[in-house]
Amino acid sequence: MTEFADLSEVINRMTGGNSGNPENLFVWIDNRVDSAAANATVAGRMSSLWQYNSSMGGSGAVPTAAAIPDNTTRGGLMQSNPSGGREKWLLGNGVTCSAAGAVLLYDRLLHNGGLSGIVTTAQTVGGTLTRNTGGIGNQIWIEIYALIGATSRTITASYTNQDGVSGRTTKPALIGATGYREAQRLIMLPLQDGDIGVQAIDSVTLSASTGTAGNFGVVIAKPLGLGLIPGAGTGYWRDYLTGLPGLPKIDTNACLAFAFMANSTAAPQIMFAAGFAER
Amino acid sequence: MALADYQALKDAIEKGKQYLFTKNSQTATSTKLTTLWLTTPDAGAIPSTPAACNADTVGALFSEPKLTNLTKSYHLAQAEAGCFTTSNSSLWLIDRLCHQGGLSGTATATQTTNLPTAALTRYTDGVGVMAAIEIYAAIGTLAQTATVSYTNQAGVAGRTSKPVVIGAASDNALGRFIPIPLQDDDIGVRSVESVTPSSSTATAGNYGITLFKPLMLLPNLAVGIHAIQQRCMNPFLGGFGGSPVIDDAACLQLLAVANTSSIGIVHGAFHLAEA
Repeated sequence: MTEFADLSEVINRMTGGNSGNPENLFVWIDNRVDSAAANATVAGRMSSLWQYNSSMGGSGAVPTAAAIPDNTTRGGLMQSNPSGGREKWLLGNGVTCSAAGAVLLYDRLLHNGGLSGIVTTAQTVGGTLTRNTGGIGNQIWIEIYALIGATSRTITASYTNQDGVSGRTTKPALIGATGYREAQRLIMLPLQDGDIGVQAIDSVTLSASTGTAGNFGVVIAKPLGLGLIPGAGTGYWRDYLTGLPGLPKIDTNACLAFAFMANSTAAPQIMFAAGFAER
Repeated sequence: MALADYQALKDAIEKGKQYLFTKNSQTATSTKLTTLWLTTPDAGAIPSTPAACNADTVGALFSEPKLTNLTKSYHLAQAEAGCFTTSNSSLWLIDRLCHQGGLSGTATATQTTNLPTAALTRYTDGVGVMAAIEIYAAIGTLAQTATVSYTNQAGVAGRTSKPVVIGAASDNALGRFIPIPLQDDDIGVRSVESVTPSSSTATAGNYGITLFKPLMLLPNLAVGIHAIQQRCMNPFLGGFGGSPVIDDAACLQLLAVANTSSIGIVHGAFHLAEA
């Protein structure tokens, strides 16, 4: 990793100097999924924008078997890869939004789909990470793709932690019933005590049937930055030079995707902007 | 041309240009994107036949001094804006690439009136270029959807956008600006050939297709704390990490979004760094 030396170097490269190759991307995200309105969000809970219609790549597809999405996969920001042996850095991003909430930018490292809300035995996930393979900071999310059942249950995942120890089990998280069953809902699974990351997921297990099979999947995500939208019609600028978490390095082939923490039931329309430079 | 370092940025801003702007209060639809193209002062005109827009198009910001009269390249380096409203409001700065009008809200079949859109004269490969429906006279109150047939960034014609909602109270008023999501795997637009509504919105009105390139977001001009709240923003420090070069011929305009039915009077200035 080759860090920027100082502010002057950032300014030079973000204006195209020294092969900085600045990239400014804008993407409009509509609160519709193909021809239907997106499901209402739930205040205080996360929704995935993976399937929302957008001006960059259309909308994300529902995965089946475990797969590694990358920067050419629709549903993501589809940024270019760094060239000439350089690394790519996210300098900042901005949002305007029709609803209050928060936007989480993350690298979608692995995803699968086709899991059932009525299967009560372990359901296989699998797949092998190609980015952030050490696992530190990686999170396990459940993403609902088609409505599962109305009965509230819990779900756990069996995974390999950041030290390569398999057979670890997440804390249980609620799944099923209103607010935890609709398409686009994201459910985050806390890790077993002492763990700080995920290298692989073996399986997920429901405590019992939710009553409807639907379709859900698992995402391994690496969060990169969070921005807060204080009210409908507002947004934010996030400058990673002057604010946490510092300049996020964008891995080659990263699938940069969005999650939304809602403050109401209004599914958001978002304009997202991001600035990158290479070093 | 790149800026060498922080001192060069400061020097470039000192030598650069400042462009002031004012827009009177604009009626809007709460939480929906609104064009300020027809907003006085210095309002643009309603287009009919397809036309490419440039810095000389009436309604364009940055009218004097013309960037085409200058010899350097210019980065958008600072922005300041105040909004006379107690609503939440945010602005987008866009380069309006081309536009047309004369489409009808009562059409029930594919419309090709005044289409295709004019050929792009900037960002001609279409990468990152967005298309939008822009409403010039209110269409009807029946909610319908519309898709557009377009040529994508790879030059492939016959691509079909995702449907967007038009009509009904939220998406029918003068000033509504409705960006259009693209067909899967596309990342830009070179031209739009036709518009197909799902059915009539019940009032003809007048709308058109605008192709544009976003350049900058200015969020949170007012957040209910004060009736007048000024924001000063620097893309290099505290901004979104991008400082786009402004094309010499750019037709710059503002879009706005607010959480009430009024955008409020907007005053401000853009500062360009000379590089």
